[in-house]
Amino acid sequence: MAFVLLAALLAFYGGLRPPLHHDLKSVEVPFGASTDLESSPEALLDGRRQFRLQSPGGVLLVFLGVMALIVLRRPQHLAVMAGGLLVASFVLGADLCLNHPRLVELIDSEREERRQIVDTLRGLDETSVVQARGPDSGAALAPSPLLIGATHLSYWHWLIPLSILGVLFGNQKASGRPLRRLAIWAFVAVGLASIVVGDRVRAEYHWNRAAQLELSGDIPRARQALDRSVEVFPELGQLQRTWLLSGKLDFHAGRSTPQERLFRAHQQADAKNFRHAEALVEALVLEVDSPVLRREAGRIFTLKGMAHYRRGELGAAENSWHKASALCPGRVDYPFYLGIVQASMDPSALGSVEKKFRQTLNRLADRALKADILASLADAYFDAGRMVEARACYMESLRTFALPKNSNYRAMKGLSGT
Amino acid sequence: MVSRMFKRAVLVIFSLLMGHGLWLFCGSSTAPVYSIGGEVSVLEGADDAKNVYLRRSFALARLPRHAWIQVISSDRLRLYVNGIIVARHLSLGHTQGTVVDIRRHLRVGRNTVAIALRQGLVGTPPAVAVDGAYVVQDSERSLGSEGLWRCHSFREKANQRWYLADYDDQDWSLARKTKRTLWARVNAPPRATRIVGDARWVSPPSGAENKACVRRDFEIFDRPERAWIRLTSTAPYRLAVNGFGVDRQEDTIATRREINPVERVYDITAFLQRGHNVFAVLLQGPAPRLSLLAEVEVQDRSGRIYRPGTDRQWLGRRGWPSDWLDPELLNRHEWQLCSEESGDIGTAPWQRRLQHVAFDPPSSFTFRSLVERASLTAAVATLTGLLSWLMVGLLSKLTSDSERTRAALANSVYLALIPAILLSVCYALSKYEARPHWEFALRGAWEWAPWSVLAGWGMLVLVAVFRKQIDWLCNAVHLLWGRWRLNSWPTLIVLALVVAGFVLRLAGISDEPLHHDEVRAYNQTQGIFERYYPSLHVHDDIPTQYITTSELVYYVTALSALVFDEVRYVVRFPSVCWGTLTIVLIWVVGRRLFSPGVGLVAAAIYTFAPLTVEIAQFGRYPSQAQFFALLTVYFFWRTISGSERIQRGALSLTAISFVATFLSWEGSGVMAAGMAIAGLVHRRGKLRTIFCDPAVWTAIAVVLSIIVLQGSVRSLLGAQRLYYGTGISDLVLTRMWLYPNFDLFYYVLHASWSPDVVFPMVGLVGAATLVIKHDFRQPARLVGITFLVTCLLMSSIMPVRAWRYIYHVVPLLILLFSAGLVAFVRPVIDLGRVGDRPLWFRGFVGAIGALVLVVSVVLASGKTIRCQDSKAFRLVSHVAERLRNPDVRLAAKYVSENFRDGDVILATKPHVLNHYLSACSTDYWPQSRPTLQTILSDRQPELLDYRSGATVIPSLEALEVVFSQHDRIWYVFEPSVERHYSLREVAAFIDRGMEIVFEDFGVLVLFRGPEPPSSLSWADVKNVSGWSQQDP
Repeated sequence: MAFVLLAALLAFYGGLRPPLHHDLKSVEVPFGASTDLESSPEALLDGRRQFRLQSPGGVLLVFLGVMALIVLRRPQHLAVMAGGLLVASFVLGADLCLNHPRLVELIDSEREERRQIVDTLRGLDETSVVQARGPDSGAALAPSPLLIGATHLSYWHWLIPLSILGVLFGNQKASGRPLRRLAIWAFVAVGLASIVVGDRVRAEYHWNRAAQLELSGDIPRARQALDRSVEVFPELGQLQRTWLLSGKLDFHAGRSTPQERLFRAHQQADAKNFRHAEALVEALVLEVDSPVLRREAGRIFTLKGMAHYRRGELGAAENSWHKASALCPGRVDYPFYLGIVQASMDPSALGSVEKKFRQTLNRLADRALKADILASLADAYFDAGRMVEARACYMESLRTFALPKNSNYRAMKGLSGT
Repeated sequence: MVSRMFKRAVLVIFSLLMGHGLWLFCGSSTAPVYSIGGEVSVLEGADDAKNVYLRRSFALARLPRHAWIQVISSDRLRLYVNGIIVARHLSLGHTQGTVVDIRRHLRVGRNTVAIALRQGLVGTPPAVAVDGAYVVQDSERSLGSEGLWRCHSFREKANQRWYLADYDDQDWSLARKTKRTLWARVNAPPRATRIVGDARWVSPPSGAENKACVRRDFEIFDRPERAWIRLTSTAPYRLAVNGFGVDRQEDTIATRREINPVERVYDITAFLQRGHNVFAVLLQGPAPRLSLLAEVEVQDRSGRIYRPGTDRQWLGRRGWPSDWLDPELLNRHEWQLCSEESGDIGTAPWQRRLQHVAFDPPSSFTFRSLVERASLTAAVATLTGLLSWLMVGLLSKLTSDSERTRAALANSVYLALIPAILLSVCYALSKYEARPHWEFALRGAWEWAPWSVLAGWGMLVLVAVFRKQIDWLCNAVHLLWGRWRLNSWPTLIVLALVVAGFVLRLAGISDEPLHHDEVRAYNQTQGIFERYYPSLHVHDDIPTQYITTSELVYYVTALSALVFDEVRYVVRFPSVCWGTLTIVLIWVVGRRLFSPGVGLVAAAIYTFAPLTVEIAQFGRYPSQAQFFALLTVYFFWRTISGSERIQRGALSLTAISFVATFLSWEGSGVMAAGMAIAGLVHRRGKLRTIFCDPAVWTAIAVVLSIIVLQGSVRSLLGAQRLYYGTGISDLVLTRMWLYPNFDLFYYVLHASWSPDVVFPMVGLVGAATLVIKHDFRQPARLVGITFLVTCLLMSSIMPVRAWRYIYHVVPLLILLFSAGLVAFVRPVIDLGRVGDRPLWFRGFVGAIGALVLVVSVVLASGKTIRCQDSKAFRLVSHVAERLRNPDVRLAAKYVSENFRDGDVILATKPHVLNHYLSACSTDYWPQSRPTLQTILSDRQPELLDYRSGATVIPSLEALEVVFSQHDRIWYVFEPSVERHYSLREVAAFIDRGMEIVFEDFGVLVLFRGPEPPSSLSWADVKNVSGWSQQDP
């Protein structure tokens, strides 16, 4: 029963771990592409989450319930049930990682958002705790877009070694060789998984072929391959990378399409040519309503705001971040940026600053970032002479992050009043 | 059955390794590993100081077209060009090299190249081999070691940067020059940075389109060994080699932004082939004129050099031709010769940045390589299988009269493959070795691998032909051996290991000065003689501090203090003894849990592992905690082994040993969870024998009482340190998986006994197979579960992370590795025991088994090949034989001799400085970052350092007050840790206000006052009479 309980815990708490938001449990991610607003990737990340039986976690919990009943009555069947668990966890995990590319892309984009917040916090105080190593480096582990989802898995992947242990040691008296049994279960798991995620793999094949054909200059065939990719797995068409590749193809072909303009805006923003990028996306957003477009527009305005902020142009920075926030309201970092600017521009309005910071803090899971944001808020109260609020925020910051060798210096120093 | 499986396994491993080797030899080219160095001229300091500062100045009338510098050194190094750091080496325990382009950092007028060296290896004074050149007006001038290099042993005057061009170095002495053999690995082709090249800018035919393609076809007559291309373009581009896309630099194709001139270097060896080759570059973008400069160098196996850089032979075409990736040029008439540009077309060479581009090969290319490898492996497997079969047939024919000889020879055919496998494994590992001489040595040996198989088979034919004579000879030898052989040879080997281990550990005991924790350990040990308990009384204004961590350790050092006078021996000798005793213990545990072979292998690895040797020379808890941890596991095994009632005597010993482990270091208590789970797994189905035994509950109660008591005392005494800062005594178990710096496998990897993780992790995987179905499965499960649960739990709940915290379970991993190795070798030995096998065959299998064991132990010990060149395998914390501890001894002497009444002393580590100071002590401890705990003074409104009683300076303002109240101020400063204690503003204030007057390894002496004392070199201070290496 301990085995089943542990598996149930992993299945319930397992899922995807975004760099900024709270963990997305596998029981909250529905099967297949999202069709309604409630289950869209943006809504899922934003916190509108609910338990769903038709989800990888839900199905696995049902399986584990059945398994518990069988194992209670027939303990000798544990090895067989563990084999079933291996197949189920592998197949459902593959579904979680591969069949939600939009969600995974959103989660992955939070790496860059985290880096931006870290840069801002480091600029505020040299003793920030975000010096501690963060999850930024995970991208290097993913050799292809297909595997990025796996790098964001939390807890779920432990189901596989657990079920392997169950297969190997579940029943000592069972005849046959445990390794051979394990090989058979693994073969079944891979076979079923290839059926479940077959479309996504095929679509990625066409996507890569499109990129390869684009390299060789065969634009018409590259376009065909890309269209084929989206046809096989429509959700791929809503990815930023698909828009950019499509835009690049259109750019080479000399066609003016929303994708082509987005591609140009993207390159202009990367080249820090924000005026052109801004003009392009503002016009585009009026024409086309797409989450990809809004997200990219948000990115461009965020970068522009950052550039202004570093130059000390607080008003312009605030303006850019306001626009970004209006275009892409789901991002967790905008209230923080706006709060930082407001604290610098109008130190008397600390209530409003705290309200903004709290919007970010409530949705943020990263403790190091939370502690630093709280310490920044406390510093602002401290400088304004509001010691009661400052003390409360310093204490909260310490409660959030204080490790013996990764000290929360800011909060400790602030509490000591120096 | 076992032998058949074993034969198959040997055949598969041999085929895989030989197939890979054959592919390396005659398959597609692979990216080479680059090495630089050889017998080189090196620069050394004028004395034996551990710091050396080198400078060389030269004047330039105009900016150079090309300039580079190469440094090779085993030490910590920083290379400056006109004050800018262009290369940096950390102290990694092996020689490192860098080749760097310095064009952009040079200027018209006086220029300076400066190198700061800090000794990296124990017993080897710092040295650096320098090579370099710059080209002005087609004339090349050297920047190498042979020039006029000046040196000094410390950086004087903090506000006049010694590495800047305008610094006056006339009073510096000339650097010594000697010859050394230094080899280092570099990541990128070094010649791509070094050579000037003779390529010209080329432009494709002009036209209206903003895209153009250029290409160059050329022949290579032998297998390409190394090849690179250095490419500069005026526009975004795509580079393809033989039809494979190598890189795209297209981030600005949709902008009108001018691109920065960058020279990008690509290692293209893997893409080239013998015969016809083609480079193709697609240029695109808004540039008015699309131009390209490409330096190319290819070297083939015969040593021929090809330089098909951009020139008039390059073909160009406007637009984006659909066949631009085709290796063969089908429409030759559509391509025209490129025009060669004169000059630099607006991009001055000294403005360009050199960038080495790392890129992933396209999937089609990777697939092709895999298919090639798989084909060659299959071919080798088929050929080896066929030859083995023929060999067995031949030997059967030759020995048709003797059944037992025939069977033995048939097995020997496969055993003869094992030496070749070992050679191949050694060579494969040497590819990841950071010291290139290992690869050079093993490459030659590896080429003999196929011949070793043929030689083995040839010997078998001889055995078959002369079997009667050989049988007679073997019987004679057997008779003699039987008379002389000793049954106690394992004991003798262990005895030899103990002696060797003790000598190894004792030999380096005084190589390093005292670590700051060792100084505290010594001071706390003295408390035993004064108060019968490890304690400190450092200041009248703070209470006596009773130690609440590692209490048991100090009683052992107190015993040592009764014997030795020198502090290093007092604190370190117990560790040497614990380390040596662990050699015996690991042998006993390996023998009792697994087999005598496992015990011997484990003892041999433990004896020579660099980490265990080094830790045994560190005067704190790790060695003692490790000994008791291993002893606890052993007694625990004795307690639960068997299926009946648990052994109560062993249970008592387990509890005592566990308490000793806990009181040596509290963190090791986590091991209890691992042992408990291992015990439950071991006795599953018979849990009543555990839970219903009152002795178990009694033992648990005793252990828990001691833990609770120790924790209560710790909390009570911790209340003395009220002020901010944190320490290990603050430690509370924390859910670390909620923190962004959580790394579940940190302790699993850092439980390695070697400077890399390859063999330890192979051992762990090997042990995982043992626990399924093997004679060793019961002890392997116990040791494996205890090890893994301890490591994973420590990562999950310990809020501090340092590799030494897991040192106590390192022997468990060594045991698992040894068990896996012996389990792997046992089938070989068993071949000789099946049936009535001839004596020569028993000797043969014994020799092969011994060879596998010896080679594995030698490789796994961490003394020979270390896979440190790959970041994936390297453990920086485990780097062996490097200097670590800052040396305060001479600095303290210098301060003591120049100290006057009224002077004040500041120190980064006040208690360490006080240990060495005579007639004065540290007054202040600057700590503007609240890192360590401090104590409020009983009488004054000030904070005190609990280790030394020095007054804490908590802010810049407080420091300014100290500076305003005193004329003469000393600061003994450790730069490497200062950033943990001081805010930037404080560091900048000290940097502006104080001068450097002395420097030793990791320590600076700063001074502020009206009459600065004379700045003395390291040798000057060292040569003052009365100073010795001994600690007071």
